[in-house]
Amino acid sequence: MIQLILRSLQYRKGRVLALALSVMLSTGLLFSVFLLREGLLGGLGKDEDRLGADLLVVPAKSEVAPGEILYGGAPQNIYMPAELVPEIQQMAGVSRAAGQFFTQTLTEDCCDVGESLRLVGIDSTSDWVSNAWRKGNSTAQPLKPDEILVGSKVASANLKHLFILGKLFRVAGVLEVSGTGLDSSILMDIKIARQLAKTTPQLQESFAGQENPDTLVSAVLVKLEPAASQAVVQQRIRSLGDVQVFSAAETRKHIQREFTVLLGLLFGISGFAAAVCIFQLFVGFYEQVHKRQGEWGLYLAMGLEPSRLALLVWGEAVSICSVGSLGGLAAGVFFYRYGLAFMENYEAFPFLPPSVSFSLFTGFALFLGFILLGTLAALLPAYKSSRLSPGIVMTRSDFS
Amino acid sequence: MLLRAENIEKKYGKETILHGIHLSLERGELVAITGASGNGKTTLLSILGLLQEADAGAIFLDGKEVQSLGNTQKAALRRQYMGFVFQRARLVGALTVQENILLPAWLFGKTAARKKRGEELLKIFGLAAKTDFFPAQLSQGQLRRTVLARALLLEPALLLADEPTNDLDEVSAGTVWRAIQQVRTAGAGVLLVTHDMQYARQADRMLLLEKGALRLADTPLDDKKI
Repeated sequence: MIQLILRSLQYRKGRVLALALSVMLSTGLLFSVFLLREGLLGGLGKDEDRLGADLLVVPAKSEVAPGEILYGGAPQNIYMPAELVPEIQQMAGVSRAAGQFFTQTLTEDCCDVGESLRLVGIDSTSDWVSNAWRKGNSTAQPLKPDEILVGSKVASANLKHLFILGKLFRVAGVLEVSGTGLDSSILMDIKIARQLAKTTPQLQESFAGQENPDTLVSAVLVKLEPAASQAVVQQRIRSLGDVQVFSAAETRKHIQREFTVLLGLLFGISGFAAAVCIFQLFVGFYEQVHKRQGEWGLYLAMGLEPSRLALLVWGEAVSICSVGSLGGLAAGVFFYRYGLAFMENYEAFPFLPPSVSFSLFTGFALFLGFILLGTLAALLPAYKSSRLSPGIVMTRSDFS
Repeated sequence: MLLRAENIEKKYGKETILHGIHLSLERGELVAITGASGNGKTTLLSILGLLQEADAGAIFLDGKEVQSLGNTQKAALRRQYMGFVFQRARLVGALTVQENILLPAWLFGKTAARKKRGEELLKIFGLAAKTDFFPAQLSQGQLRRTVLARALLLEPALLLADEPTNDLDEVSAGTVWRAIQQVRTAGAGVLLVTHDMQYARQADRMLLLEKGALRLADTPLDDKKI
């Protein structure tokens, strides 16, 4: 029976391929969109829980989008005077403010981590953000000069030491997966980060025409008093001059809005592909009732029970949907990776890769869903075939 | 008695195709049914082969009435008792010659014995060189021989053949005819519908279907009329 199904599918390879590709495309698109949506929602959700900063202050000349600073992993060598930090800290309505100094590792350094990563210098006396991401230790000690914290993509948890720009550091902790650029960043004491930037010849270009790195910061994260007006505080900070102030919540909302539209569009395309696929499956199998009456009548005439003939028809549908949806899941992983890379090139955003269990569950659900669709598409043809009179084999002339 | 039909009636709309048909067939007997085209020979064969329902009458297989059985039981009887050679070559285009011959085994269980039998039939019908050919690549004679080989795979007790030598050249028709005779010799009953008087006359009995009724063609028939 299985042999007969396989040979029949092989014989009608054009039709089978068209149906299987349609199922594959629908499954792949749906799978990738579900994964992207899950990753984005997870990233935004975690970011909302842990970011902890209400405002982000960066140099006025910076052309980097606030989302790139908040969520992007690429090094950003932007600088402004460090004296802004105490001024912001003392401002009315500000609860906390922490300066960060950005520099980077170098890819060409033989003793380095091997790729260009963002080094974030944090001021342990004022920083509150990094602690929120430290695995299982909310009361972690401030970083010592030879200690670093690494993002989850930088190194595994059992890494003890790391060479950065020729200096050996002890890995004091690995940060939790944030779905942001933090995952690809290395955090160290701000003084050490400045010192590395000052003493590494290749990084001097970043400070051309500027002051000594010791007097610079790249960004200031600001936490407001609960009753403070964000707009008023933003205005006050802007009045300090040469800075841009972004609301983290607004940035997040902006990204959320953009991706809601994008995901809606992707869901729409996937839904349309699925609708076309369903139509193709139903029409394709219904046509078989007419096209293959002679063949099915022959099987009945030879003594095949009507119920087994229905099983044969169903078997063809399920085989096409199984192969199509399995191929679709593989294609979905490709679409997901390609789609994610495309979206990341377009804009930085928080993204938490979906868990293995979510991916498996979604893949399995889609697989079952398309098997069910195949079953439904084959239901009427299977029923009609089982109701055929075996005598039809004597009269049908359009026999393949 | 292998097959017995009593008082078979069949109408298409208001037109009576068959009426008062009585027929019997013993094991090892070859009965030929002749008659003009459109007289209902194929209809009669399909009723006797349990492929379609008669409006009235009874059919007995090995003494058991089978006309009133359900579809599943009839299917089981067809599988158990019958082999068919249809008027048009009913081969599955997706399958090779060998696979078409083995089709009953694919549907009802492939045993080593059936596979061996399939190989024998390929040789008997001169199809060994065409094993992997598809129906579209075969001549009319090869198609008909393949159909006959398939019908004989399960060694049926009853072979129902509708115009098996129609449209065949003499050599191919002779091969088919000899195979049918061997089936009879092996002990199966053969019910043959044919226009070909050369072969009909070699049957144990030759019946004439005329105006819906079946009678023994015990007088010489005018070949040109049939």
